[in-house]
Amino acid sequence: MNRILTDYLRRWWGLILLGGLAVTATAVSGDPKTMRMGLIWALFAGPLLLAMEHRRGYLRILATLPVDLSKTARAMWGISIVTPTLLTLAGELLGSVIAVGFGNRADVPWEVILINALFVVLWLGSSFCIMTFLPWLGAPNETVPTTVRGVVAGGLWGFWWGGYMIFAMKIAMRLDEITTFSWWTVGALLLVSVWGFSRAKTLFPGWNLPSSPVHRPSPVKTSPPAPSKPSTSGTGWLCSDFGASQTGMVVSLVSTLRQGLMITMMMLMIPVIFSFLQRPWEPIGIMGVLSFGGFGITMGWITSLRQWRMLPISTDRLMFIGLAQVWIPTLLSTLATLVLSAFTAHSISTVGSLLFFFGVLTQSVVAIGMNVRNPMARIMVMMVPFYMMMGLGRFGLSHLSQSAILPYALLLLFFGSAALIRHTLKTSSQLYHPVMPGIPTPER
Amino acid sequence: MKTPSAAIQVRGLTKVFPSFQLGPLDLTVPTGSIYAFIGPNGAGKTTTIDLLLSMGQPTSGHREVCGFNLDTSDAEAKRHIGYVSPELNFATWGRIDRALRFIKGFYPTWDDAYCNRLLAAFGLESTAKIATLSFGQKIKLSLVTALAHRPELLILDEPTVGLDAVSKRQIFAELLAAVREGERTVFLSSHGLTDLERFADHVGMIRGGKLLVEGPMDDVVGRFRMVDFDWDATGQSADLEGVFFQQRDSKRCRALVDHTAPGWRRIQSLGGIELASNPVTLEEVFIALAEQPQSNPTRR
Repeated sequence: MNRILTDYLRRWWGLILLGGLAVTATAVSGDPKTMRMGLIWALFAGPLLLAMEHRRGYLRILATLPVDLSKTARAMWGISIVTPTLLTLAGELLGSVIAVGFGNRADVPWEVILINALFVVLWLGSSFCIMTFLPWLGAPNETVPTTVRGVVAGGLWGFWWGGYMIFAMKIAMRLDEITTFSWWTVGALLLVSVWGFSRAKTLFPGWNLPSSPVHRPSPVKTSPPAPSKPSTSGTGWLCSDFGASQTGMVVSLVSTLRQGLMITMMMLMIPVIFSFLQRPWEPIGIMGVLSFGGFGITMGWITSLRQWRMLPISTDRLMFIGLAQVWIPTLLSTLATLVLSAFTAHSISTVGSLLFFFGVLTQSVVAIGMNVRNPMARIMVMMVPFYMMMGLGRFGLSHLSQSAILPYALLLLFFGSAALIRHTLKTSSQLYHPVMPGIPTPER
Repeated sequence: MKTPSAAIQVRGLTKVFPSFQLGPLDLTVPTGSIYAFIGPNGAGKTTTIDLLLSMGQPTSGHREVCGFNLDTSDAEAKRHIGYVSPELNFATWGRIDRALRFIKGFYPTWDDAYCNRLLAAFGLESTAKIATLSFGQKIKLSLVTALAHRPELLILDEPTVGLDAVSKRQIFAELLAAVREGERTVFLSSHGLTDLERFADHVGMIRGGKLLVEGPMDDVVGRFRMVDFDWDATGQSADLEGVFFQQRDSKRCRALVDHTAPGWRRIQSLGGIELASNPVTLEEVFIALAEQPQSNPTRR
């Protein structure tokens, strides 16, 4: 377990340092709300990073090592929840001490730091739990209930990332301000986090598929063979038309589309949830959810480019498919915002504009990021919407959204993303990092 | 520790999925043997291998690997196993030496000199970036990680898929050298049947989750013959276990015949006249068995 943790810290020290600095900086500012927003770093260092590693086959390698799988699973839980929490605590403490030194604060805000730590544990713990329900590799023998479970878990997981923004704003800064309802919520999330701990093993290959009775075919006697006919049912036609790694390709495409569907669902939840809130909408929360959504869709699509490139579709058409994957959910989300605004007293023009702006912006930075070779620089580029959210969001991006600059910025971003996605498509062979090289689907 | 007589012993192993069932499977891989585990796509090979590595819980059954019961001592068993698969992706460590440094820590028997020799033999630079390696080079890296701790049992899942002829030869040469060095067992799943026939001394064939044949390679291949015969099958609905028809033209038939099964004797009793009988290759046996309807177990 220690070896796995050490290895994780050794490989991701750059991200940890960067996040630690960000958390420290937010604590130096002395503003509790800024400190709360800085906690978003924990997600990147926690379940999101593990999810990325999982997609690259990290857990499969760990599963082959001579370590008790329960211990490895616990190490994964530790990596995703305990390590980011401890590092966050350290960053906030350091930042607070510096703030006291510079006279930004009178003393170290112990209460805020402790509530923040609790918030990180619960938020990451619940994210981890939802993550254990995701169908990671799109098993070829998946059933309808498994698929439905995957879609629901995906939507919930995606929403939970964004839910952070709302949650962060709602949780009180002082213990005596926490309401009874909040304590109940904390209790429920604690249970979910513990449940996630007990489910950690299911992230490993072979431990995540349900077992249930199967229909066994009745015995058939051997007889002289009859000429066989090609199957035309199910996805058989696709398999027979696409040569070598057909089944894998079909599964991968279905999985990508499902990912898109999950994230669309998640984005459609934004206006619904916000329409039920009594307080004015928090544009920063919407931006956050949308950025995660756009990021997820574009990344999912770009990492399966090889499969898309195998289809008889021109580069330009493929480029529009890529753009549409973000634009359609963005439009749907904006439309839902407009419709639901009829039942609320909130202003929607700002929210609508921001939805649009951040959806497209995220897609552009992912496309730019995928063309950056250095992994650290790539992460830095891809986080641009989050910097904007943290910076501009606080200082009135809502004003920007109402100015004349926005339409021009949108046009620029649209053509920019189109050009970058086209370029990415043209160079896709260099960018494709398969989950399982050569054989995308495990053969049974 | 006393070397067990069977490196792998599986009894009644079952894994039930919503649309597929593996087993019940009985498998015995003698210590020191090279066991070819073959079967068509979707037969259950990788599921079996995963279960042998304790990657997943079987629905029922007993698994013993290198003398360790996997239900109670899977970590100890894995210390004695080297595993190779195209599904293993070490890219997360960035460079070859970093991946090796991580893996090495888990095996007390890791042999650095041997590891370096293997890297050199496979033409892998220890500082090379894993993401830039070709598919074949990634398999070779996987093989280095599996061999360098000198395991008692090597489990190889499609180790030669996507490799060119030279690389294949290199890999088989290293495997043979590794087997010769000590009492090492190799459990190998592959679609390269010609290579397997030369390389392996035991074979097991699985289809639809069931083991069809198992035993020493010579016995399994030797019990089948390709038989040409005259037989009027009109109106016959006999149970012809062990007879796998390849061709039928009027009365003339060609079938792969398992001489240990009753089907051929039944045909002879119904007037079948043998015209010619020829030995077959593993590939011919495989194709004949793989093409048959699912319920003709010839295992014994």
